[in-house]
Amino acid sequence: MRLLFIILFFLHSNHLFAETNLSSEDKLNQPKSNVSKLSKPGDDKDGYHSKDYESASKSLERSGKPADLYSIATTRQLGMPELSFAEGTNLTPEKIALGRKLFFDRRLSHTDTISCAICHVPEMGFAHNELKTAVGTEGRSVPRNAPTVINVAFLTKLFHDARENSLEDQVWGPLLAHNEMANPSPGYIINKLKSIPDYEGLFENAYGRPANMDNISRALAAYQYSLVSGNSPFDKWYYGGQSNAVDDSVKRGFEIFSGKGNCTACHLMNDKYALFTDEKLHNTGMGFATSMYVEPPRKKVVLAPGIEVDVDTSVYANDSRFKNEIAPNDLGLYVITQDPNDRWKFRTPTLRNVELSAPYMHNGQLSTLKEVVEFYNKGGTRSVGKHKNETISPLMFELNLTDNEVNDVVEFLKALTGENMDVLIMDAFAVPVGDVSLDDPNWFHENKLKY
Amino acid sequence: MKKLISTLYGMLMSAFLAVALVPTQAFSDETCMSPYMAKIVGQEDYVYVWTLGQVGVGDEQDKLVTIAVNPNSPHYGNVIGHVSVGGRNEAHHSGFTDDRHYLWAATLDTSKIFIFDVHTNPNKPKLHKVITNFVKASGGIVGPHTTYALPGRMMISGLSNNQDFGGRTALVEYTNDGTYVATYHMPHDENLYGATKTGQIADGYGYDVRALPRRNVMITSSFTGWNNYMMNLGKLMGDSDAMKRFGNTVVVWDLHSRKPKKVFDVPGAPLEIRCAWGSQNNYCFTTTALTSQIWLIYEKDGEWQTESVGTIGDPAKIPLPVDISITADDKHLWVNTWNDGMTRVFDISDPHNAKEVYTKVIGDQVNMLSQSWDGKRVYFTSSLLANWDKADGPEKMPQFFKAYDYKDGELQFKFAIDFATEKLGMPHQMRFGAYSLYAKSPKDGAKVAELSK
Amino acid sequence: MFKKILFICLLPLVASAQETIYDSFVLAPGWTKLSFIPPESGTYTLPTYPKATNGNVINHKSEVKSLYQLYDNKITLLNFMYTTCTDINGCPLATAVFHKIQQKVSKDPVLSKKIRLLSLSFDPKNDTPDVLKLYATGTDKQLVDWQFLTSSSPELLDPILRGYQQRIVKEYDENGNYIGSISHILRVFLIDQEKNVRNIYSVSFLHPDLLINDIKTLLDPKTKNGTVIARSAN
Repeated sequence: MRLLFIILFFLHSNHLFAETNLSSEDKLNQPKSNVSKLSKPGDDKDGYHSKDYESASKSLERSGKPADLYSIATTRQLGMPELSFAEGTNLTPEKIALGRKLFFDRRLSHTDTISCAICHVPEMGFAHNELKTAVGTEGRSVPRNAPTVINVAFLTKLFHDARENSLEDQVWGPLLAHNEMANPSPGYIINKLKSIPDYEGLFENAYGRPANMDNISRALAAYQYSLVSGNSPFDKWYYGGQSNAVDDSVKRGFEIFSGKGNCTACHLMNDKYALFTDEKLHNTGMGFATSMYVEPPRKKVVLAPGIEVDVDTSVYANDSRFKNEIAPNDLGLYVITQDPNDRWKFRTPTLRNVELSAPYMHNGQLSTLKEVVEFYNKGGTRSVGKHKNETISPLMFELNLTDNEVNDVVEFLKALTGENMDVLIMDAFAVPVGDVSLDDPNWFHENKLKY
Repeated sequence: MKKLISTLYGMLMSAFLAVALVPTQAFSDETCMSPYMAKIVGQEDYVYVWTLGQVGVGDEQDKLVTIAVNPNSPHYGNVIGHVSVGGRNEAHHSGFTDDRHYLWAATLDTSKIFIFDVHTNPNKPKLHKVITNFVKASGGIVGPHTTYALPGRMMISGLSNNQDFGGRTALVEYTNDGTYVATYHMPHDENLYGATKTGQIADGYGYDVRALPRRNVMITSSFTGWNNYMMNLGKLMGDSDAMKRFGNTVVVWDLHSRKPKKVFDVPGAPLEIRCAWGSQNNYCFTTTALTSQIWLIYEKDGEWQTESVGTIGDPAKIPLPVDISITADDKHLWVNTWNDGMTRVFDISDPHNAKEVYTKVIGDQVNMLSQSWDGKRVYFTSSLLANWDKADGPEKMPQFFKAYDYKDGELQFKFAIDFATEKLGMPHQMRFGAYSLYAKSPKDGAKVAELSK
Repeated sequence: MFKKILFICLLPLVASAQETIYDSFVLAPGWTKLSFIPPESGTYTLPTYPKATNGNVINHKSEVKSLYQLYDNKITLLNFMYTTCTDINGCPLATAVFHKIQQKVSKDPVLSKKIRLLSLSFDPKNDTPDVLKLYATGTDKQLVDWQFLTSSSPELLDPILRGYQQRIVKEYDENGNYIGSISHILRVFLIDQEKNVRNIYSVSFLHPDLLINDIKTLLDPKTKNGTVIARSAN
């Protein structure tokens, strides 16, 4: 018995070894995505649980290449619908350039620390691969996962709880939220932008007038209008008729996705284009499970490569400061409507570029696409202990997919990565991050905000 | 001519021997300072505590708090003043310039560095300058941590970067008057900058920096990026993706050329580095916050290497070793463990085998410690990071400064200051001040710090 | 020459009367053989610090010179000192290191013409031109130029000391009498031909081999004035 165990262990560890024994050079050069070779955290931690983990950290000294974003925003891509702009948009390259500058500007937060791109990181799917849920000004907790901003221009429901309807309106949410960029008021942001020398003339040039609430939101929206990415391998096959654009597992995965898996019930598509979202909100049980979560007395935590410790959770879980943060409560749409039937309902996200934006779900609780498909395969979370999820969506049920079928669905999802992602990422790398300079407004500088 | 010169050196050398035989003076100082630094002679007069502002407490902003610690002072044991600096910037570590005229107090969130004049009035530090553009000047380095004095300049270790708020970062050099000089990236897999990766990891993370000038060596350790050190500790423990983003390396550098030489695997977030003082003791210690190990970084047969030389408490309880301090005789290493509020003394007379010889509960979440050069006085503070500090605890004083005497292997309590009831905030790093450094007399009636002869 | 030897030799005998800033048990590395192999000259970049401060000083012939005149398109090593300094790891160390450099570099006729050593006193009251005459190298053209300088007044000296952040504190006894020693941190500056400060040395690594190494780095064709010329990747 013991011998058998040892042999099994040996085989198992060998298997792990084979999986992870890439030299760091190989790991560094091995893209995570076949389509987007640049989509990878700068300090990739794949295989971190294993003692054979090899780091693959990239240089901070990187260079980019500006893209013709105006052309991207105004050219329809395969698989995508026509992009409609908000009334009075009249998109120009100057407006996109201004929005792009704002997007990467850390001075746009109250403490000059957080830009939009700090949570929507270009090489992490314009989302965030290193955090399940986001961290805001002064480290304040955001209970939700940063969603991708790629292809948001097509959406009419924004935020995980759909509280906003347009990109232009949405902008003020993060800018003013106490736990995100924490600006005290719209006036503060306008005042500050007017006092930063390197914005001098930019709003006037793009919008014909100084910075105001309207053109700040329009400029940020303008950049996001250009963050469009279709023409994925799936699009080339399904909408473009190139049979060799994807392999058979993708085709089988699509079969399941649109058939037995019932995924298209929410992740909609039609014969002209696919956004893979119904823009509706559903209770899958993910939020419910979090609300009912109890930290176990002991938990295995990976503290370093190959070093897993069975941690006594009482060392942190009992303190009132921490216990509600381990799995923060989030009631979703209910927070907006106060309707008990809306408890734990969250927006259906687009699936485009989904392979780039791990971890998944509104709270990042699932780390891999396979875990996501398995979550749906078991019909979501119907109960936790004695607690029943009474308002779970009727669209959630056990799918009875085999392991091979689950893998095929994952392969299909990985075929949804847009062709121009690396163009958008290289463009983002070319943007200088907006950091405080000695000419900027600050209480210690000659240039002080006027009040 | 040649003969003259050799005679000259012969005379010089005999003169030196004569000097070397004169009994040495006793010096008194924190033992973790730069060897380049001017040292206090005698009893320290003040402890400067770099203190985090706390919502709902006093003026809610970061401040430098001055505490009188000379028993000869009528204000002994009291806060005699503070300088508020605006904002909660995640005040963390501070360090003097080599002439000890200025204290550079760095911040991990906004990356500002506050420079205090501590020589004009040692009892009343004054905000002299604020470096507001550290990130821009350094080319995107976030979270200045250690401000370590080199001759005429400061070497600053970063913790993060402005691209992803992760742990990849750099060392940044400034002149003493606050002018940016250069950025030296931590070695990583894509570019080791000529270093040898001795193990499996070259993460490019940073934390502390120390130098052993006699060996032309600089040593850095590695913690984590902005996302992790700023977030709530409960949230972090619940985030298995974030928990992968801790540093696992120590790097040995060529001090003179500022080039990394060797990258070592030291798993589990090696934090503070303390180097031995003895002129033959070519080694430094660090402790790993997550895996609770004492590591020795040492030179053997001309090659630098690392070795785990002791375990701190029960690693499954994540005692979280935080600040450490080496005694001036290189015989003992103090280690604070934050989670259980303990200070521990390890016998390191055999540096390859650290043995715990003394423990005492100081108070919940004890973090920093500073000891005098003679080892007779030890001070403790409580705060680790704004969002890692606990709200509850067995004690009524969650944020404290505590002063002890250390005699015959026992800590003897002298006094404590409750930073909450004093409306100050969360006390972090301590640095010592003294009039004797500047040949001044105190104006508050206390006797000038005695020169111990 | 004899007078100078006398000066260097006598100082240590009275050393340690004052409080020393550094542990007097350990001789500074500059007195002994360098205990490590320094990085190869020309393989590393010397950071460029802000421009060296200018100001008027006087030499041992009582001539007024500006520091920039003295830097004169040469690589300059500048130290601040006072001749009655008694700290073995202080001014005498710098003097000895300069002396060693002078001896070593003078063997290289090309190098020696590009270098100048300057010792500037911050005690003009005692260190008059007449006193400095005792230390001046003289007219030996075979040796690297080494000039001893002082100031005509504290008003002219102060901005120079501030510019180099060379802080000095006169020391007094309990009755407030000046005890003749000036507490300061030993600083030696390497100044390139464009008058930029390129390194600052303190007692812990003031060593002739390191300083010569840095001077050679400034002149090495692998560098552009001490900045390693970046080679394109691969």
